[in-house]
Amino acid sequence: MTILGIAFGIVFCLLRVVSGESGYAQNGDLEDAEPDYSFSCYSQLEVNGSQHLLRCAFDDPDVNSTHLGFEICDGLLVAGCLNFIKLQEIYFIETNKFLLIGDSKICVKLGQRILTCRKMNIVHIVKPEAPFDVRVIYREEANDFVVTFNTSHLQKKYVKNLIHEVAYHQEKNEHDWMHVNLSSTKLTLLQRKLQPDAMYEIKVRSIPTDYYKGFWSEWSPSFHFRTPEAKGPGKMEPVLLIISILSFFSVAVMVILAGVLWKKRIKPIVWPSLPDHKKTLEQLCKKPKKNLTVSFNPESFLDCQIHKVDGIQARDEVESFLQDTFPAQLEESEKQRLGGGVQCPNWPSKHAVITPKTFRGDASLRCLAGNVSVCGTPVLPSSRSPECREGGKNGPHVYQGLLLGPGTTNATLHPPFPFQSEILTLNPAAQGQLLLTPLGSNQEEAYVTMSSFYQNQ
Amino acid sequence: MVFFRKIFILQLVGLVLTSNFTDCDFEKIRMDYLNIISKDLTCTDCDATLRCEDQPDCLTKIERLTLHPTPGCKSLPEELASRTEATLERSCPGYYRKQKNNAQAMKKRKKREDTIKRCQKIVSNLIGLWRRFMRL
Repeated sequence: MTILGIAFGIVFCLLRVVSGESGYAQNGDLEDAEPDYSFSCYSQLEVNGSQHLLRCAFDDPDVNSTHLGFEICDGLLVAGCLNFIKLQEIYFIETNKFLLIGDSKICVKLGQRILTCRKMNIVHIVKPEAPFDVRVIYREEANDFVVTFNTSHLQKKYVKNLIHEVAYHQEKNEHDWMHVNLSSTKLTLLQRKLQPDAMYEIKVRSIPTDYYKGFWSEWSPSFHFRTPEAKGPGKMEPVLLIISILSFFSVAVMVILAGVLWKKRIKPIVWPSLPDHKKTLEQLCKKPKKNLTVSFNPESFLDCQIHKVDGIQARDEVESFLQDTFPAQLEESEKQRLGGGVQCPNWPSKHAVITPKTFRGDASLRCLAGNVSVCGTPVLPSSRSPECREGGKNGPHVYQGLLLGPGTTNATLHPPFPFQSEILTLNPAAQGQLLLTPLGSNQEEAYVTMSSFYQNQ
Repeated sequence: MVFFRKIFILQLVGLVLTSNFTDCDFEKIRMDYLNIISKDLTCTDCDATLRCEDQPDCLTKIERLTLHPTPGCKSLPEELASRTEATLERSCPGYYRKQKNNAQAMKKRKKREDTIKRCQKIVSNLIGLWRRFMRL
């Protein structure tokens, strides 16, 4: 029982002591608690030449700071500690003795008694100086606003790299602020992103970055500007108007020209017409003119030069021969014919091939115009008389201007052109099929030859 | 016995005070030099003749030139020496400060300009060594 009483007494005393230390008064009211000496500081480097500023203040504005002081130790270029200067409720120190590397210890002291301390790094609590000289310039040609401002940190050694925040709003919209962050001191605002004919307010603040850390600076003084009125729908730049009119007329002229020249000039180039084979063939194979000379009377072919062709010869050799000897041979053959002899003209052993080329310009060949076949095959006339032709059995034979090969038969050819049926007779010794070898080496050359012959007509 | 004990203590102290700078936080030292120490080093006619091979070697030579000046240049600007020592102390484990009396440096402030002129060669070499350290 005694022990129990003692225990209760001890517990009661302990409770009283604890409640007394907490400030709990007998009347139940809470006495003044221990004041909160928590504080915060910031630094400003090179704020006055090479002098740095360190400023501290209590977080609780109700703190009775009458006999309180601040001091900084460590992190100094000097040994010992430095005391702060008090200005109303603010404590500060301006010196160039900060080491700037490593932590410093900042303490609150009451007389000589240290109340509370905090370790801080001077370069991590930097508060930059506020920007100034904010200006806004409107560029009409670019339809934008150029915002420029200045900061004292551009000329400092230590805190040079800052992040700037530009805030602007329409004055009638009090809380509708727009924010832009940038590292330079120039910003461009597009006119189309702002309301026309409105009043705007703009301001800037800064914060350190990279190695230095800290807090936002104070806002710069605000700048006010008005945006221009919107351009009316009827208003237009004179240059733009002229260009539009010229473009319209140019397009109209081009459309008209395209319509006019479409059929004649443009369409053949853009969509060339392919030749119609039927029409082409018809053109080439036109019926002979009615006024052409057609006769079975040999005398009507007296002007024509008919040459006996014996076998297939080289074109070059024959042509050259023809160019040299043909006029002489013609005269000779005429004389012989007129002389009544059957003797054939002295035809060279080499067979001459008369191509339509040699006919050009030769008036005596005009009578042969009617001899052209429906297919336009060239006809090599023979200047020999029919008797000579009959006698020339060993020589080469020509059928419709084509050299006949050795295998030619004795049979009379039935040409598709009835008026030529008695002109030529074939070598009776030759048997076999008739070989029609065109003048020249291939059918293409014959085609070309025939078409050009047709053109000559 | 006492004699051998003194020798042992001296050797221990020497072992502790000798730094080889191999375990330093070189990046932190680089940032300290770039943002703070370099502002104290300026030369008009820079003519660096000293070289260093690697970062520990550069720091060894920097520390020696900064904190143990040659005759003719008894001390460099106090900010330079103190900040160099401070960055080595906080970035290199086992490094201890060698500057004992900063009050003496304050008294020498009057002759600061003369000191800088006489120590121009040392400053040039220091700038060269720091720049080499930054490039490694």
